[in-house]
Amino acid sequence: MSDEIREQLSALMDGELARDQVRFLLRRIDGGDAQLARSWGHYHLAGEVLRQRTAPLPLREDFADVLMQRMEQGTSGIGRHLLRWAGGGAIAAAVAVFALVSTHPAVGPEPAATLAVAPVAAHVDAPAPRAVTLPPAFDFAQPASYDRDSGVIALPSYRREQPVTLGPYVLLTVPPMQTTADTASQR
Amino acid sequence: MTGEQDSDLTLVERVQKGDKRAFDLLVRKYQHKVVGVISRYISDWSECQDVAQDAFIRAYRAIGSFRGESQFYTWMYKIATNTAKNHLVSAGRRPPTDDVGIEDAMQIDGGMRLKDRATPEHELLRQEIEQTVFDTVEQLPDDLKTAITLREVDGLSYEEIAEKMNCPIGTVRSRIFRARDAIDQKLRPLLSDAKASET
Repeated sequence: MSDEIREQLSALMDGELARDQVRFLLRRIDGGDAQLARSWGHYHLAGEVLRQRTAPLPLREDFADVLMQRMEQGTSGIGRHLLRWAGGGAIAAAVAVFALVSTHPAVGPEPAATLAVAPVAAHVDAPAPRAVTLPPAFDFAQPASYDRDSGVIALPSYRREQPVTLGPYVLLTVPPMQTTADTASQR
Repeated sequence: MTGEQDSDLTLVERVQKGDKRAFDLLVRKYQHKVVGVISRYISDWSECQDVAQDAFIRAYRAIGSFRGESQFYTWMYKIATNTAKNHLVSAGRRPPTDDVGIEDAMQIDGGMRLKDRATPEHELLRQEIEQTVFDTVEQLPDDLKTAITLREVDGLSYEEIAEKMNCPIGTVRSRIFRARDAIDQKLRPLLSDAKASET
């Protein structure tokens, strides 16, 4: 780390460095010269001590480094959030299917075969839009609500603390299911 | 606009263009002040630092909206106080109603309240830092000592210092740097093995 670069750092601190030189200097620091950033911190600490006639209580030495790491994670977290969003949707869908199966138990002699052929129709309905505010705790996979009477499962859209319209609600309708035993008795 | 504000604005513009390193420099510049502000709301020293980190992250996310109409620190100060209050509310604690204005806050030593709660190790390190800075400046050659004092204590610009010291601006810049560098060299061993990093 040359004296010239550190002298530029000192001049930047006093607002006495040309803007094009600022860009060059920051590139130098970004290039891995971590001591430059620490020296900058020490220059400011010294100035603080001289002005206040006392030193502030020392912070964690890695305060700024940890913060930068957190910021890096936060920036790249968008993609991760989308993955979690999609994962949450998959879980909710699985829960919905499970709810369909478990709340209509087949009681016939060959339930597995009956369920396998039972048609489960699904369609997306678009109710009239209205604004709602989802609760703060609302985040990823929320339990799907199931109306036993109508056989409708509602999967809410994955938004947080935002007024949203109910357009994204997915409604899965359940056609009346008849077990083999029911069918036989009707005959 | 003072040189310091100009420096902040230059760094903010770099951050707005996506330069994270410029934000790192702003953090290192204001970290003690921001923790000091938060310490008015939160008594635990370690918790203060965690909340200060949250405040800086909020500032980074919102920096696109900073238009330079106020000083960067004034803007950062508001974010820090709001973050501290929100932290207290979310923890079920009541934030104090007697807010300290930024002008008053600037006059009060940020770490003053924390000193009472510091561990003996932290207080010892704080005193060592203070003594090291004063001792180093005291031992500097007169031209360096005068230049750094006129800059840091009196807040003069390089041009004003050059006039007072009857020398070129380039010489002023060099003298101030050499004074800071001497202090930096003395602080490095003190801060690199700081016990503060363990807490």
